[in-house]
Amino acid sequence: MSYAYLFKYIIIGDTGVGKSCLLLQFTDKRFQPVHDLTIGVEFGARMINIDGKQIKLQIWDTAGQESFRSITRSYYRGAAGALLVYDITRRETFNHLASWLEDARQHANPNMTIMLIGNKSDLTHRRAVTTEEGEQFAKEHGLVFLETSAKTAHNVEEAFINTARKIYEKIEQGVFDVSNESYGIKVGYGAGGAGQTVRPGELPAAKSSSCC
Amino acid sequence: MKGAQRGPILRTQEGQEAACLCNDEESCEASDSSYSYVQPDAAASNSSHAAGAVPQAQARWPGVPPPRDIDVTDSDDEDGAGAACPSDDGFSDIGQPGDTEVVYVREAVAVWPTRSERIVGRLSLIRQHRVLFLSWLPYAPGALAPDGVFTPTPADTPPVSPARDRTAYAIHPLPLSEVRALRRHTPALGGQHVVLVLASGLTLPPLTFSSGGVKVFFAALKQHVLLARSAGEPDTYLVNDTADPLQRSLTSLELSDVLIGAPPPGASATFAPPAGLMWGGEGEAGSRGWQLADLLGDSVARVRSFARETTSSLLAASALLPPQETCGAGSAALRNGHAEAAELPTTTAPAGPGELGAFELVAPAAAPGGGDGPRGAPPPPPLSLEEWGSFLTSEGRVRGERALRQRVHESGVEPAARREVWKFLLGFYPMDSSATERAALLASKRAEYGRLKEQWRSISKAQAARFSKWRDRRSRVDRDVRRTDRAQPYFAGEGNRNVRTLRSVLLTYSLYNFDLSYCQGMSDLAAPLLFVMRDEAEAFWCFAALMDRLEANFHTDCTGMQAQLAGLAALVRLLDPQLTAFLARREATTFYFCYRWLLIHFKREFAFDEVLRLWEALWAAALTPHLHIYMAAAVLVTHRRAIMAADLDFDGLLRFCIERAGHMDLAHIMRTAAQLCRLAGRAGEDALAASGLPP
Ligand SMILES: Nc1nc2c(ncn2[C@@H]2O[C@H](COP(=O)(O)OP(=O)(O)O)[C@@H](O)[C@H]2O)c(=O)[nH]1
Ligand SMILES: [Mg+2]
Repeated sequence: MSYAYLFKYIIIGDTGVGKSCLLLQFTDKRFQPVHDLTIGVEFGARMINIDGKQIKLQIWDTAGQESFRSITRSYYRGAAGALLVYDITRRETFNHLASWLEDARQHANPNMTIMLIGNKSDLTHRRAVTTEEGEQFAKEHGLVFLETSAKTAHNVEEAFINTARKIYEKIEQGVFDVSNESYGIKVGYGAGGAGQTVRPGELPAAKSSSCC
Repeated sequence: MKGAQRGPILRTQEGQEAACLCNDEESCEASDSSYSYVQPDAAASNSSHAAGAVPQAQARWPGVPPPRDIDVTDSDDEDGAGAACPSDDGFSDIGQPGDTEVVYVREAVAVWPTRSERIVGRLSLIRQHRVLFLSWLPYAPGALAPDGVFTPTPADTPPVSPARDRTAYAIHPLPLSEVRALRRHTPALGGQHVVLVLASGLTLPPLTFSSGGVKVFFAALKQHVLLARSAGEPDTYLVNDTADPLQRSLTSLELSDVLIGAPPPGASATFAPPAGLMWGGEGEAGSRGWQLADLLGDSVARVRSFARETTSSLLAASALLPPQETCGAGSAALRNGHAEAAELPTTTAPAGPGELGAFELVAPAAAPGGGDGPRGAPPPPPLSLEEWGSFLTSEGRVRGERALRQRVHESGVEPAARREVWKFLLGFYPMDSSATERAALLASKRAEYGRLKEQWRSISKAQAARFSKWRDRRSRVDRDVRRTDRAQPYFAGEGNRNVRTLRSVLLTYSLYNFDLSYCQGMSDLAAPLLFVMRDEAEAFWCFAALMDRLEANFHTDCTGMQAQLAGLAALVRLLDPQLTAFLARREATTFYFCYRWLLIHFKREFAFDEVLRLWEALWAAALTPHLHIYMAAAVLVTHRRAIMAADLDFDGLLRFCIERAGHMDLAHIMRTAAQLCRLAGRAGEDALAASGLPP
């Protein structure tokens, strides 16, 4: 399938907050409470549509454990968007947000769009962090905020798509030099103009022949 | 997505996250004690210590039953019922995997090390993937329990052959193509015997059929290989040696090539048996404790070092090549910011031997190393319980450790034998320990485990409330055991007891090795151990032994993993300068994309039972203690063309590596890794050592 843009995302946050479940809910539209914990990083992709433009999201789901941090940092490289996730039922995952944010600011590109996500909103009876606290933190740090449930799919589409919309707006405003890949954005052939489309599986040589 | 790739995922009721595995901390602790380790005194009797053990659900084929008590009352006559063919055998209980079949068994075939000593064993022919193997295994000089635990015969029962170590005479599954000829002798007195002459010229000790059965043996052989009676010596049968070479079986050609066809120049003298060296005589051979595997191993080692020399010159030559511009298509794509590199053409054919770049010329020659069967010939069947017994002396010490490690590397271990053999491979049991020493060791380790576990089980609620470090640690373990191998029936389902046992093992370890604590990845390493051991304390000590090797992988400063990754980089630099140049241009020489492979030894890349097979080969360390790094190099090198042609950047490489999971041919990668290891030889081990890995 052709696309106008490709955005690279990264999902970060403490282990167990539901990062992998969010990704699976977004890419496969299902909730799988029992799966293997993430070691290193996992990968997912999905096509979305914004203003009639096809945008491909390439999403990296990282392991949250402290001891993997130095490795995880190498995955920040060239991400256009980040989902910073905490678990509304475990306050410590909220308390760690500042250190995650610092990590992201240090190792990602400064224009990376960060969405703060309070996950497991279905577990209202066990809530340990109020919605207001989440909103407050987001406001203080200039983030977009949503509460989601990977289980019921509540707000999951919105989390990924609103982030893409933000990035798209920045492109429109000329914040990014889209030819510079370190912003985590690639321009596809469906962007109009070139009139060329790329199909998965097409040989790289053929791709490059139509290169700018 | 990982979860999607690894088969059925079991649903639990809710994605609930409780602080403990049970909703109620109290009941959790209570039930914990109800399935605690077996009491130390029960451990002493080897039959009961598997208390609660469930028959291995995964066992693909139950082992050959251990030999019955040595029964040499020869009742059957010539061509009698002792022999078995697939159709009319008395051994239908020998379950086999699809492609492996025991086609002939004869009990009580003896070797006579001297005129007055006799070692009795079982002769069998095993067919696997159309290749015929012959094996003669002496009966274990004691009792071998169904889980592989060995109990020596009490000292007051004199063994049949007191002076000699029977393990030295075992013929571990040997492809018939390595047998040049069979000679039958019918002495005027005593039983008929058969002598095997190997392709190398070596003669094995005569196998005596004291109650007849030679004809049936030959008849069984003839069903599977060509036997030609020698014109000059009517009692000699040449294997597969027909006048017309075209009629030779392909397998035979492939295998004999290896042993006869390619001796190192000038080394031929060492290939022939030293003059006068003949098995079974009163001569030196027996008293010096020669072992067939050692003898074979030596000649193989010579071929190997020959291959290595050839190789190093080739490597040198390849290093002299200018680091070529990568394929034209690749460098064009490099300038193309639009290419989504990770989308490799899915049609890329799996790389054949020709993909091996600079060293493709020598790859076939590296085959004689024995570890990986030449040119796709199948390795012998996995190590069975019966064969395991043949590695044990009358006291139950392992004899022929090198041959054992080679066997495990080559063929793996039958599920039924894993529980015992793994404890040796991991180093929990010393190879030279006697069965009695092991029983004592196990009993004391069981007790020690009990004490260690009690340390955290005795933490009261009130104490835990004031002990945030502990609560933290516990909740991390809780969270992770619920996400470890739950698709395996053994760990599946809500409230699974084995999941709780895994939790106990990990919590106990986090106290035993308090400084290291619990880190993600450990649950992946511990789960297969528990699955195989079916016993909490044994799983714990095996895990502790494994962590002795892998501990550095989990150091928070990452030095251990950095050393592994640097080792991989050094190996790839040595073996494939062109790929290294490519990765350098892509700023991907950190090899972070191989992180998961090296951290948990490909646990996530293969199916559960394949992981068992792989790990036992890694622990056998027959070629190198770092086989997993050669494995990683093998995967990259196998796909080098595709990687360079698609001009993968770091993300592309990462995605490529993640997506190998579930799509790799374990046997092929192990073979390639072994080839690379031989190819790199000393230089490879040096490169790894220079990267900070222990030798
Ligand atoms: N009730 C509920 N449980 C969730 C939700 N998301 C994740 N979980 C549970 O939390 C556990 C950890 O999720 P996971 O995606 O592995 O976390 P990660 O370590 O951040 O990737 C899973 O086993 C799920 O059972 C959610 O939205 N609601
Ligand atoms: Mg995860």
